[in-house]
Amino acid sequence: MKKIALPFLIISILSFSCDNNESIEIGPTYDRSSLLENWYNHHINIGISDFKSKVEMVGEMVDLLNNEKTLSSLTKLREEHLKAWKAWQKIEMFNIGKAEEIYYKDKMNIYPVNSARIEANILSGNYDLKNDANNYAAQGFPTLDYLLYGIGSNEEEILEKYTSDNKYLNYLEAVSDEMILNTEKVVNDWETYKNEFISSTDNTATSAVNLMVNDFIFYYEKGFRANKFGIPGGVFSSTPLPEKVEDYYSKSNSRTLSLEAFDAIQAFYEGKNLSTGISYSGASLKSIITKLDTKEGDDNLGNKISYKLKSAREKIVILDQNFIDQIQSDNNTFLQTYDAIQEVVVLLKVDMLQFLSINVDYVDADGD
Amino acid sequence: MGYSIIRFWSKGWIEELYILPEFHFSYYGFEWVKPIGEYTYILFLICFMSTVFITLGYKYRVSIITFFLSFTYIELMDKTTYLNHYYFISILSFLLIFLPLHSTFSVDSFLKKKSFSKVPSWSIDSIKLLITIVYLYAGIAKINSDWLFEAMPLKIWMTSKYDLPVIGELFLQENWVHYLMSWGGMLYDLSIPFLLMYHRTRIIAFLLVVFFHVFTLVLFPIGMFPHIMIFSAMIFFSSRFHENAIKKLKSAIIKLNRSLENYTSQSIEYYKIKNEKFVRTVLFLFFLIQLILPFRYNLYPGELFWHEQGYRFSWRVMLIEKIGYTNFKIKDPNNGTSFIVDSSKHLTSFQLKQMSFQPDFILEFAHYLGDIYSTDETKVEVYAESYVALNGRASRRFIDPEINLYKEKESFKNKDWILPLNDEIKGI
Repeated sequence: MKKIALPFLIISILSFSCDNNESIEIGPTYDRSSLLENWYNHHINIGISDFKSKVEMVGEMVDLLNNEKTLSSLTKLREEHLKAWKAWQKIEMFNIGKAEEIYYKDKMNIYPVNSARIEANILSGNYDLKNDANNYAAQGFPTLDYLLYGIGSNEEEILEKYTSDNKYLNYLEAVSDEMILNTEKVVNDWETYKNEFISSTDNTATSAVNLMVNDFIFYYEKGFRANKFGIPGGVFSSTPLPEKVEDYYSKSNSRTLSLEAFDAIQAFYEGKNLSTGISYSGASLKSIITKLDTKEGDDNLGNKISYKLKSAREKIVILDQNFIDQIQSDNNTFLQTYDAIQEVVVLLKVDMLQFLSINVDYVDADGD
Repeated sequence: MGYSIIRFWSKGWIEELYILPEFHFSYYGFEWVKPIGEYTYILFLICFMSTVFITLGYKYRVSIITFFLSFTYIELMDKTTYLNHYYFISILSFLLIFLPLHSTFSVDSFLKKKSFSKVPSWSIDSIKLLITIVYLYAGIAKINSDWLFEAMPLKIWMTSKYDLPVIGELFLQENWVHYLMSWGGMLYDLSIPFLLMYHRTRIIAFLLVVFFHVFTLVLFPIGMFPHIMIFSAMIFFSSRFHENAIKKLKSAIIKLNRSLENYTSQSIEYYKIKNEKFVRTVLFLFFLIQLILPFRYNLYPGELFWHEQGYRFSWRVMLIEKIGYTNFKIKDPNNGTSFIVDSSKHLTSFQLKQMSFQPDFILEFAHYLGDIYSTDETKVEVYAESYVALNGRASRRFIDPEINLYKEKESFKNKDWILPLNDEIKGI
């Protein structure tokens, strides 16, 4: 026993003595409960309550159009549709709890829409928006985009569709009702889910911390990078596919929607309040990574991700408001933006996950 | 081992790992070993039955050969699941084929009415030698600068265990704990076989074994490994210790079944091994390979932990934390158009994770994709966009993006399309 005890003792003394200055910095400060509280208070709660009121406004404007079938009603509806769509960009990443259970994000924002399906639904008046997965691409914001911009070549023609008979209006109502209903489900569930969420701090595959980090990365990679840029830009196909942009029918808000989404991503990562943009105290994804990576300054991963996000945003800002035009006139610039966004994916999925050592394993491993 | 198979089965891993995936990563030279559809269950059943027979000591020789073959076949089906302790089981069972484990206290000896009290000492020593090699090589592999001077990757793993009761927040976040564990682990591996051999330190050493492996069991998801190592360490105990244990077990069995009391067998002192010369030659070669194989990495230039050429089958356990992100670009050489493949359509998330940082996986999958996207007229080109991070270092490009992997062939030659780590991990 002496044989073993001695070297152990020596080593422990050695490591004690040489790390005194460091251990202050790397103490047990990765406070996950503060992280979850911040996520709920500064992002989720703000985002979903703001969105709820905006999506309800869409419903009111649909009612207005129903009562007064005028161009002014259509314009007002279009305005509220855009406002709500922008607010949606802030919460699509929170695909957790009830949202995940009811396929909230699939029902709210799948694009490109299936216009043939929409027309068939309108014609038959017989459809199931709740349970039929084939109807995911026939509801939500992109479908409203189609119904408000895509069913005629100008405003008058579109209005005509709503005045001639009730079929289009019925579908418009059904879609907006469904969006409001699903949103209420999610918002109400958060009232009870909140406490469970905040206290689920473990490092297990099903804990809220890990689920949320995975959701965040997944959203950045798929919902943001691939859907908004990669797919229409032609990264995953032999040729560009501009018909797959998010606002294919209104055509004038692609950049706005992307920037809204990006700002929410940036705020989430940096630890800034979703609406005010002011840094909050306590833990954020960035603060935890910065502490876990022992490198300093520009080499520290926390800062590296910040820089890369910043330069990605600069590349988005210079794009045309209409991504279809951008892709058709100068896809190279569009793909450069994609590359800048992609660089962050590498940092999130490789470097960040390495430090967080997030437990998603379900098979034994011996670390080799 | 029987339990291990039941555990594997009950977790649904047979289906998940061997039946559902459309593609399996093969070992070089063993591409013909593939899961056999629904029959894979029968393979596992055969493997399980052989463990029961081995434990009872019934038809020992046939059973252990069956076990070795079926278990090794299972492991060869997909290298995604490679673990050092599966390899250990495989070669241990190979070794056991040549040893007379059924000489006493077994159904075989009961039926033949022959029981042997002594077997050649080399037969037991060879098991001890194998375990010694495992620990010793695992210890030697830990003598490297990442492990000892950066406390990597233990630092990453331990800080992420903040949710463990009591020790998680207080203990595992401390820098000195990471270093203590790294150095302690290295010294443990290097010294434990010798402490087990020496009769005075044996009890303490065994307690250390139990403590160490239970500790790793709590900290890391390493499955059956701790159990296996704890039990195999018991081979170091003297024959007297085991005889006493067996005596107690025997009397318990007799209490259960009185009729056995009248059973007598011819007790012979020495077990004579047939073809002893042949067996000894096989074992000599076997151990020679075991001693040399872990050093084969010296044949490859560059950093072993980075390119992993010569990494497997060498008792390098818990040494690297590696994460990769690898996408494949399919290029049509005729018109220059290209696109990125969604790999998750072809691989399970576990395969995807393993593929992303191991060059031989990347190459094999690139060929699989090349086969899919090529037509009779056009042979496509396959390029990898690959980034890997190792032991807390920043991620960097892993595979040369200019190299058409579809043209590269798997072999034991150095893969020169792996980009260098540009950092040195000193060590043996």
